[in-house]
Amino acid sequence: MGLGILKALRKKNRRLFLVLFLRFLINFASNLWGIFQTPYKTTKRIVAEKRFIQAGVILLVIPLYTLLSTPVKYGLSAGWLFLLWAFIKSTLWTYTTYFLACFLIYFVGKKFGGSEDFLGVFSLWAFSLIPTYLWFFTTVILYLILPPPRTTSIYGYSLSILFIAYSISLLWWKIILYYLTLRHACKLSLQKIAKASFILWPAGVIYSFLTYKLGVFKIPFI
Amino acid sequence: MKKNRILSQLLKKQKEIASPPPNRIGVFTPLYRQIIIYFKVAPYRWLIPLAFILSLMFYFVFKNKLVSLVTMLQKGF
Repeated sequence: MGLGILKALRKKNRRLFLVLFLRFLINFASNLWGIFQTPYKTTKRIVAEKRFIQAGVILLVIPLYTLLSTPVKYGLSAGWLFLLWAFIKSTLWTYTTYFLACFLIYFVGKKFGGSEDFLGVFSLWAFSLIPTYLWFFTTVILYLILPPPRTTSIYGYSLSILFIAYSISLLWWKIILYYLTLRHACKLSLQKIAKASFILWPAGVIYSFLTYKLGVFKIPFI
Repeated sequence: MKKNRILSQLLKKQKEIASPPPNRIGVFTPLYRQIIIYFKVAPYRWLIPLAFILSLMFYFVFKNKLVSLVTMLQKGF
């Protein structure tokens, strides 16, 4: 469908372009709602239909987030040149991390006898960035509205409890999408997913530690 | 021609349903099948309340350290 939109645009067929674009939007919105409401069925459908253009649209969130977070993190007084460099560095590191994660999941899945479907992994792993970026966007907005440090007053404790509950919910959503990526994109059984996780999770921890030491990411982003 | 198309669509659907292979974990398979239903549709219905309960438990166990953790997380972007 995504390629059809590009063809319609090239042939300057406005009506066809509008129809295909609307269908794309409806399908995309349906998938976004689906990974929240019915993650199992939706992820199976995303892999079967190879929604890599929708994955590409989700990956466009990365520079949008970096555009918002860079001036908040360093302040506008840091100078436009420094902010530009920080923006480019952060965006490139994030894309590198994403593609490294996709390749690692693909190769580990293949090693455990899974299907050789990189596009499936690519499509599904992009949807798993939604809980990640929900958390990061919320954190940035909260930093602007209620900057840290949190106090030990009743308000401080209440916000802390709410924030931790919110973070745990999004983490569980991410874990569910991680499991479904290995299940549907790599076609692994539960036992093979458990074995693959013995390779994937330590690799993720080591990478997170490295990026923390390099000053790239403070919170593990995979 | 129409029968071939219907047959190919049926085979495609059968392949879609059959893959990936069903999960089997020995004697725990029936328990697994009962639990996994809650993950397949609207998992947030029980995940969000459970997250709140865990968060409250963290508060009662760690108290001030919870506030320090949130301060650290808020600077983590």
